[in-house]
Amino acid sequence: MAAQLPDSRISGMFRSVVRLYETKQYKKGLKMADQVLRKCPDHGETLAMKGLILNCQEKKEEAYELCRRGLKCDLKSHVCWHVYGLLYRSDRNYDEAIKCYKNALRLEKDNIQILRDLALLQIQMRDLPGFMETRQTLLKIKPGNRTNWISFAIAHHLNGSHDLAVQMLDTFETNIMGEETPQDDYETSELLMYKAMVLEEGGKLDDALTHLTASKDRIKDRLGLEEQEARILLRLERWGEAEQAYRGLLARNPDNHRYHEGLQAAKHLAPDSRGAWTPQQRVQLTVLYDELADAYPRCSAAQRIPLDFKEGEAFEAAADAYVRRFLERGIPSLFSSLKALYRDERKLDALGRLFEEPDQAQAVAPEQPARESIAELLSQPAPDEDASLVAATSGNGGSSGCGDDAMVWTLLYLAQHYGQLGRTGDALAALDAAEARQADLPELCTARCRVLKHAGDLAGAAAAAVQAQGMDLADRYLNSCAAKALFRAGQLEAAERMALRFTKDGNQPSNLTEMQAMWYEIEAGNEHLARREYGMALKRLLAVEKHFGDFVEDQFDFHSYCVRKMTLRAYVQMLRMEDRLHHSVLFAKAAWSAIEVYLTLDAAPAAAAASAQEEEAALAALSPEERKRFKQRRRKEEQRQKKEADGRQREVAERTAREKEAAKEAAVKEGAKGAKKAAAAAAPKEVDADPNGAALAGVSAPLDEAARLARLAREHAGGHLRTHVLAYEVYSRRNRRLLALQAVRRAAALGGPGSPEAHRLAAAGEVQAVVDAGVAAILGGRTLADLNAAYLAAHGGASLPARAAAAEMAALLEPGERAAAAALLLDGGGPIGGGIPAEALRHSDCVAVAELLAGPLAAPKQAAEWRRRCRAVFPWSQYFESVAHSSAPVIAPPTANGGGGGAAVNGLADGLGKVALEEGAAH
Amino acid sequence: MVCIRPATVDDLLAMQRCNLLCLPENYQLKYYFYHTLSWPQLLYVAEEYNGKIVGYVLAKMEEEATEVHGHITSLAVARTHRKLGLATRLMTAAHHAMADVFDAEYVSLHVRVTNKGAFHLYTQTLGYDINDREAKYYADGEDAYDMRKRLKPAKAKAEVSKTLARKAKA
Repeated sequence: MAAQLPDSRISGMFRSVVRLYETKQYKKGLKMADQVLRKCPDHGETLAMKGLILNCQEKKEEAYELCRRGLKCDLKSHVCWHVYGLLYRSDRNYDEAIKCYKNALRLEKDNIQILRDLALLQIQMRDLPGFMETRQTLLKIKPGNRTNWISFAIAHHLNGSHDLAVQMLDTFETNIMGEETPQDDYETSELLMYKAMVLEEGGKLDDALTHLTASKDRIKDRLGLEEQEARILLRLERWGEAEQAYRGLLARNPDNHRYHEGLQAAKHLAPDSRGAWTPQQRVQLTVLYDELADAYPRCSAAQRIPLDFKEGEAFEAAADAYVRRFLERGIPSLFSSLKALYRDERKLDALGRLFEEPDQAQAVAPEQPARESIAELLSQPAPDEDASLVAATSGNGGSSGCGDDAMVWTLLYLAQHYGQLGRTGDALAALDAAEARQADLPELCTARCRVLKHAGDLAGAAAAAVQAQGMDLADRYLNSCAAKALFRAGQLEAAERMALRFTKDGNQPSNLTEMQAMWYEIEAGNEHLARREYGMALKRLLAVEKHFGDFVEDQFDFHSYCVRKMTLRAYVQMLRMEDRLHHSVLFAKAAWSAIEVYLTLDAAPAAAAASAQEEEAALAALSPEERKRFKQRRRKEEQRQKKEADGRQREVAERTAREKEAAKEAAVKEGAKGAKKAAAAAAPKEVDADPNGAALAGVSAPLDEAARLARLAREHAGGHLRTHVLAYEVYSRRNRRLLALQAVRRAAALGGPGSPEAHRLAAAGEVQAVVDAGVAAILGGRTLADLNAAYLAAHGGASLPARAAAAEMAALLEPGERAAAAALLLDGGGPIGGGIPAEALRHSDCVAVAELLAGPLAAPKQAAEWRRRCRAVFPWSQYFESVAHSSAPVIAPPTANGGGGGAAVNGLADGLGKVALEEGAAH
Repeated sequence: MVCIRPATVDDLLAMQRCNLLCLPENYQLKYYFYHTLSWPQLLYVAEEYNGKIVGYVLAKMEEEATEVHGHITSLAVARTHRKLGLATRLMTAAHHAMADVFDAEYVSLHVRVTNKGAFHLYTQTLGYDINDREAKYYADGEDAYDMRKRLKPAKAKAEVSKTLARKAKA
């Protein structure tokens, strides 16, 4: 039987407990609650309220304890159930919270506060039918409330009942909004636009147009209105009107690429599914874009788009005009704006010629020395020998100051162009020549960084990026590039220092984490993983997972906020964005690497064990007394550490509570003022209880954690091959045959028949053990050896990774035949072996093969031979330890073939093509 | 070719990334949510051909102020995409939206007093004037110029007080 409060004075006191909680006067609230409990110790609702207040002070355990006691005393109290729900809600345990609210509602059917809270949780959890039911109840109870109408309309919209949603909005407009609502305010405008959105999404295109036309005078978002009208006209195939609409939009903003697409679609000038146009379309497009370029002379889209559809001489003329503007003004993004054209080999060649050939160079900078000079420039090995050239150009630079600049930018473009084609030597020569003319241009260094990275010289790349950063210390972009390059080069400490230069609060990495700098966490995490620092790796990588959790949580406040603000279109888009939030490749990258860490921890539960063994060995060398003393000392040390850790955790909890409080107050104030620093203030600075991630690395069942992440990756990043490769590993270790098989199938479907990863999975011996229908389907009734041979024949001719996968599988199937497997890679001709043509060789693939030969194939001699051959092909590679390092002068003579032609396509030209050919001929 | 277009919720993560790479003043994603869910028309992005976000403007309205006005919270263009006029285009788009959609009288922003490039852009290209200098505005102790640009002709004083009176009544 629930305890009742004896008199009105005490029930008044209870009410003030509630009031004090609501006004956040927690200390007073606690005191008041204790007074009530002294008179009436079994009063359930007071117990619960006391728990709720303690929860706000981060005393979680006590809070739950009190709340449960309260419930025991008064199981029929909706207050107790509501409070219990609030506790769960504050812990983000929304499922439990929903159950509690529903229990509360059973006792108090029409309690508006509880219904509202329940609706919030239901939409947060995307329980759409539940949300609709709750919103319906609220509307029935209070049909005069505008929020209730709008929310019910949203519920219908989200549920796919567009017609009902429109009905609700109409009813609201005619019955509730009333006369005194201003007709031209922002909220009304947004509401009208929301209705248009629902109509459009419900397929009522004509109705949507009619509605927009009728509401024109009351809609303030003119741009949104015109964009929607144009889009609908296009969908209705009212081509002429659509064209006019898109022309109108282009007049507003000729640089919005989507308007160009709309206009092209309206004029039937969009390319087909392969991105090709008919000759007739090309003619019409030329007319259209001549006209647009005249109308909008400053619009870059009107200049750039024609390069997509023009061909041959027309393309060359247009490209010439286009690049000239960039070169003369020294605009750094020229290459990035043309890169997409490189898919077309003829355009690629034409662009190369444009920059290499004399008349073009002269056109760019009329007073530059002609043809030979570019070739000469590129063939000058050492920058200081270029002094004569610099003098030569500065001699005629007097009348045209930008001439020399234009040459620098031309050379920068050429470097990027050669870099793209894998002609490392040419690219570096161009950069040297450019630097001889202008030594302090950071863009030259960042370009060098990229070239060296692709050539396998990560240390050289990092040095170039750091040099760029030194040229403009106030620029965070250069700083970020440098940090990233340092991480990739394995220089973790320098990278951390670099990344922290622009952070606040005593330059702690926690600031980067607080600001959700996920690029940093992924780069740092991967580097820790490479260094086998598993704790730190997990700390960084799991922070990314936590950020995504926070992003999901971020929605919560906006469920009610947006209905008040009437920004309903943005709200619905936000809900959809949240639903696919985890599809972000950032989440996948962090999850993949974290799975790798857990798999490693599972395979060798001892990064710790390794050090324990070392210790054992050290102990064995000591005398018995010494050993005893050592162990005692260690025990004491462990106890001390444990004590400290406990203390730290307590301190963390308390401090967090205090700071959250302060932050909340600040946020409330900020909310009113809407001031700038809200974001910074919102996050309390927490003391890190596990600064080195030791606790994370010490997880007792790493495979469970790997499986948890694999499940998330499958759910959100199922379109990536890597997800299934890792999932296979996790599931086969857990002996989950069917899930492993599923991973094999998904990998095969995603990777296609040639994919080495998928082949590796399919052939992995273990799968054969699961001789069931699934494997038979993959193997098609053949043996694994057959399968492997067929795969090698079909895909191993042109792709090194495919060949490597086949060799690895061959060795796995016949461990006695490892030498033959290694021969698959080394024999067969080509610059390195295996008959793979030079242009198909990538540095990273060759590194992988070297590791395969040295590791699984246990062929050290062949590995050494492989490395020797790779050295010749990748002279800049650190991995293959070649002589031509970035620090050494560049010696490779450039090809500088003005004609572009065949050699330019060769990924390994650089004069090393010669080596390649000889090697190839030998076989 | 870089596309200038209104930002949507789906751009926020990329905007945050661009901000973190380019600027020392950073914000949690929720602050971006707050902007786009309060004033969805005031966010613009510059999008490179391959879909990468290389610049953005994040702006808001100060609705409680005596004169309704806009405020530029953050503007960034990646160094790789300078000299294309992206900042000018992003800002102009935001200005138009402030005036058209929200009836902003003027727009304000803060800029580091040492940031010559930005200062030049605001004063010479975009027509901002210095309104005030705020001491130690930035976390590292640097001062800021508080700058303003009128979007509509200044109201007569009488009209301002009328607006105030109406607001007080409401």
